[in-house]
Amino acid sequence: MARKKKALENELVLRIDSFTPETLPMARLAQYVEKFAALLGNESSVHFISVEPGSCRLRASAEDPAVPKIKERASRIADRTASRPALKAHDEIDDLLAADNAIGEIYFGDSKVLEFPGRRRRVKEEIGPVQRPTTIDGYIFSIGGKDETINVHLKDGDIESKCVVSIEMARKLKPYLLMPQKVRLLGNGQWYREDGRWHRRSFTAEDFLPLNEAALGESLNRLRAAFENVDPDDFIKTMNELRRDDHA
Amino acid sequence: MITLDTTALSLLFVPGSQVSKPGSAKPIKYAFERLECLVDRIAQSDETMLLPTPVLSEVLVKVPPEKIQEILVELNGSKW
Repeated sequence: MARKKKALENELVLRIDSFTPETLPMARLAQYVEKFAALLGNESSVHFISVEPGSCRLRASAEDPAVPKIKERASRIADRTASRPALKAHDEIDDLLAADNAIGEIYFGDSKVLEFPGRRRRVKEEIGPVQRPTTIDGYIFSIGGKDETINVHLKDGDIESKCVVSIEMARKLKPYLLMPQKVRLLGNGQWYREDGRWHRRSFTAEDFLPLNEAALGESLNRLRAAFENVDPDDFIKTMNELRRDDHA
Repeated sequence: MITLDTTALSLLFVPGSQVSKPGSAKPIKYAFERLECLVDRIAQSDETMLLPTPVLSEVLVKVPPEKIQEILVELNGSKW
């Protein structure tokens, strides 16, 4: 009786259920291999071996020192705490599988370490694009481009944002590049609602303001000074009048 | 992000303003001080405040026109 061959400890397999080695187009194979390598990381220590039957199995092997690192990376991808490039590679493989009406798994030795829902994943509910006036705050760390539109990158805490501006506006923003001065870019964003959450996919800025970083209390004091001649009783009376249903 | 309504904003901006519960003329005790406490918390946690346009419009109703631009410049340029 034939026994199932036990996989080597350092062997990695990406299994795709909708293809066989004979039906998987070469160009598509190249795309899967590229994303598979990006997902595993440790590029110089992972080697492609073969494409084998059993649906379609892309086999690779990792050099011994890289094995624990790859296991750790796979574990972090599974709980979505991995680095952005690793998560991106995972999502891109899943997109390829969904487009191929397939599902997939990654095995490390004999253990399944990752799954790709592919065709089984829930269809995203998407609304958009919706154009909305949008602002982005941050410190400018990059301005670049070689045609009529220039990309500006900002950082605010851990959040990085990208926006597109005209050459003229890029020139105006240049003095703020890599300076400790926060700016607010004002323009239009292209928004999509996916699974109940709004995401901005692009933003074109048409104007900007250097932000006043004064303490909140200081800012409020200046605002209160502008209200100093407003009589509180008269203010409340006017508010009540504005809110009366019969107010014409 | 903390969104303020007209009542909160008027307390914060209009010196001496008071608020009461619906159907009561009795002012809410320490309303201004409570709001100041909220402002301190916002400042400490580096949060931002959202002033909806209708709220700001209402609060600006009794402000002299020449002061409105000054207020808008302060608000638009504020990191808060």
